[in-house]
Amino acid sequence: MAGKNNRDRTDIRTIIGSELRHSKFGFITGVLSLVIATAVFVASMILLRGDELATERLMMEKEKELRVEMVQLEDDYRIIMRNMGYNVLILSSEQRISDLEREGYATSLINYDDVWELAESGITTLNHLLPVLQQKIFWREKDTEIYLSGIRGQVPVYAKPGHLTDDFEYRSPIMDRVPDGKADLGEEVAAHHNLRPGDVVTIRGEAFEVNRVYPRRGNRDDLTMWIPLDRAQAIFGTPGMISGILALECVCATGELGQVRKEVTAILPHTQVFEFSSLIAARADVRHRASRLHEEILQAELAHQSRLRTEKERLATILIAVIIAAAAVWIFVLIHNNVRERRHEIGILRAIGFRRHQVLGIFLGKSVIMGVLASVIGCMAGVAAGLHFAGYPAGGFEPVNGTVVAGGLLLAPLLAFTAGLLPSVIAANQDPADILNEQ
Amino acid sequence: MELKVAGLSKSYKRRKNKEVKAVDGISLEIANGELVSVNGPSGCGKTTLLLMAGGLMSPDSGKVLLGGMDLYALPPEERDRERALRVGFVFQQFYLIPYLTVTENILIPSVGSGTWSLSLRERAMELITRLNLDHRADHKPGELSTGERQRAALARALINKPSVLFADEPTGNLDDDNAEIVLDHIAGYADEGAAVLLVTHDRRVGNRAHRVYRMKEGRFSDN
Repeated sequence: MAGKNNRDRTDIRTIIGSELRHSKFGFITGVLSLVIATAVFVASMILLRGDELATERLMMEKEKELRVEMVQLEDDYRIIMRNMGYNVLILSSEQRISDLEREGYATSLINYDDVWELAESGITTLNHLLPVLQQKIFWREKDTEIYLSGIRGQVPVYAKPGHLTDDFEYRSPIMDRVPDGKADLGEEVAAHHNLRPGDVVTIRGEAFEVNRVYPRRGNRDDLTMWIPLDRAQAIFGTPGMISGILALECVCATGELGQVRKEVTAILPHTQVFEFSSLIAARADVRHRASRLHEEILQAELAHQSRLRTEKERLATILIAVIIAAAAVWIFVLIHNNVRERRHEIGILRAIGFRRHQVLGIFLGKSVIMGVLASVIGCMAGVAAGLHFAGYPAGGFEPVNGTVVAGGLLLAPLLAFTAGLLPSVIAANQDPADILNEQ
Repeated sequence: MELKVAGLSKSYKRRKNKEVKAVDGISLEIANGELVSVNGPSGCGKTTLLLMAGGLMSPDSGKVLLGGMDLYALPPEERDRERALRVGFVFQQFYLIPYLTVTENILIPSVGSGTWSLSLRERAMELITRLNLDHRADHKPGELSTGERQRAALARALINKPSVLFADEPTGNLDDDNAEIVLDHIAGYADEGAAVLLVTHDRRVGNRAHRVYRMKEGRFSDN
């Protein structure tokens, strides 16, 4: 019985609750305006956050793509450099450049032991040493001229143990040795004589099985046949001799080439060093340019995304401000009209002893109840709309963070409180005598 | 004396700053168990006198002593509290709160005074029965007849057992039967020991009042 009676208690909540039920239109439209304001705020924040996350993902993907492209580019350059020739060519000091230009190969030879002396010298500026013996010969058996090159693959540079296996072989050789009894052919040599891997060719009476045919390179390599170095020395009658040493200097900077020449001639005084610095410089320059270009693309994309985001934020700010202002005005008008309509009620309440703060509580309480109810509905609607328009699948709450939800939950009650405060204060300060004297 | 009014005056400023004396130096005493009626034509200052005597309107001069306490010497919040506990009002327009039931309307003064209790609820039920409103206890004012509304308003005025009851034209909107009922209850409340000030021009008050004052242009003309 007592419980029932307590439930029947008449208090401020009874007044507010009954009045809300009594003036449904004002209540519903008031809540609706606050729901819209909250939902627009929450949805806009989620859309902006979703956009920010999408931009971050896009930029990360772009960076990743560019990084892969850079690696690919460097790899391409390494292959191109290898195919184009060598960075440094070490020839006999007696070799005349004019003879080299005229004949197309070195006519003065150096000792094969020189390459080993260089390899064992502890030099660190050269990574790969390739001794080669090359001459342009008339291939009697095929009635044609070719370049015949004797090679043995790379001589291990002992100061660079990181490149070598335990057997002093290169982990990643840049040129394979030609197996004994075999020959590698340039594209034009093979095509002209219809030669394929497995065919046997004879040169100066010595038979070689075709090991492989290189694809077209568009340079002198297409007219070249490679055989083991010792066989070339035998064919040319120059045992223990080589034309020169091709040294691939790998990734050193352009400025180090003078140092390379100095070091090599200090070890092998009877040699001279031809530099291909332009190739290295070009490679570095192109690589730097590519890197710069990629960085510029990335920065331009970032700037573009930033501009877009600023524009979206500006629009969202305007939209939110307009909606909030409209909701605030609507709440003010609603409560103000409510105060006017309930003028006699305020008069009698004050006459029978209600104090100002109690009257204030009745009107502000109504505003805040509308705000609290609207905040919950508005937040849910805003989250759903924001995720929908941001293109997030069901269950994807990534752009929803606590700050946005807390802001949404606080917005409507604060807005309702602020907009309802002035008319509520007006209500609380009504003079009951003035009202009751009107009759 | 439960209510003592001494030298009350109140002026209003009308158009062109012209001052009108609504109440001009009125003094009045009402003892417990006494019903005093003030009548007079419209605009003679009856309601202004009642509002000042009830602590709702500060006089320009004079005093209002409620149970010996100078009402206008109290701070406004304290005066509100005293009014909630010791004064009841009945008006011609009823001023029932349209969205509350009859029972809730009757109990509403307890919200202002903070005096809600189970016994108060029992008193509300008792008043509902006494004023023949049982069948309307859970109805809203819009569903009541005019007489029922005034009876509900009277029950609201009596819920806190005020020591002074002020009634301003309580029968102004009622038919004869309902006017008689309401006046009987008001007189009955005075008989229970309360001081009652009734402002009306209803001649039916007649013999129910212990004293009748006639008011004209802010003054008592005779009694």
